Amino acid sequence: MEKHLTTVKSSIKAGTAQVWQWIIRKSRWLFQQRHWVVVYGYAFLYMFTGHNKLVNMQTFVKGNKRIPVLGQYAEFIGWGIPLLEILLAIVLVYPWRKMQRWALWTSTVLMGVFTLYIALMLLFAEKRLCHCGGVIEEMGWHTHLIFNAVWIGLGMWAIKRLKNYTI
Amino acid sequence: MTLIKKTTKTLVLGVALLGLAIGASSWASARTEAQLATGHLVNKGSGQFELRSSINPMDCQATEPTPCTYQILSPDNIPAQDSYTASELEAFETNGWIEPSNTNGVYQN
Repeated sequence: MEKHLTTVKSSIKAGTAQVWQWIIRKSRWLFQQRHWVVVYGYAFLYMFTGHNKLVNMQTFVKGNKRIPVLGQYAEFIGWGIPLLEILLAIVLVYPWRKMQRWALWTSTVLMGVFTLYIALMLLFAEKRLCHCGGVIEEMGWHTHLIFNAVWIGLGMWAIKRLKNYTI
Repeated sequence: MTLIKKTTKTLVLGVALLGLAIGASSWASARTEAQLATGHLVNKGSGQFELRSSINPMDCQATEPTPCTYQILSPDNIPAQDSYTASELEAFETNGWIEPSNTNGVYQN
């Protein structure tokens, strides 16, 4: 009985060690591929917000109309931004390195435009408007600004890393 | 062969990720929709208002000189709450998100 118990215990120990080794191996691999995590992160983010804006198109366009200066282009922005976001998300996951790099560039620039909008709203607007889509909309303005700035930084870093890929 | 296998794997991962994003977005939309107020805001007296999906004008008792019910015009801007204060109602009305009814009084139901 005691011998059997010892065998079971050692099997569990060996199994646990194997699982840990697997986790460490995968974590190491993920760390080496972390620029791809950024690429796929952008794809997820843009598909999420793009889809959310398309589903709530009426609200998005209505909200855009209330933005000073940009309000006159509400319909154009309303359709253009979500379609661009979805297109970028698709290209980002398409396995063609050159296109992925181009898409990452555009994604980072677009994130820069969004960040500029938030910064301008924080600095000058009395009544701030954000139709950023889903849970992102529920962030505070300052959190949103930091969130976007982090993504810009990650995007720039990933672009640099992707320079090594030629195909 | 390895290249084809790798490309297919990447494609599958990409499609799965985009599908996940669409799913998450749909879930977020549904959750937001459930939190929005639709219908009417009714006057319960003493500056308190409540949300009703439908109203019956017969339930208005003319005991107050303020509107008995308000039609919600812009549900996107009205959060679903247990009750609303008079100042909240004033802000909603100023923004054009609600419209008062012709009947004054307190809603009994």
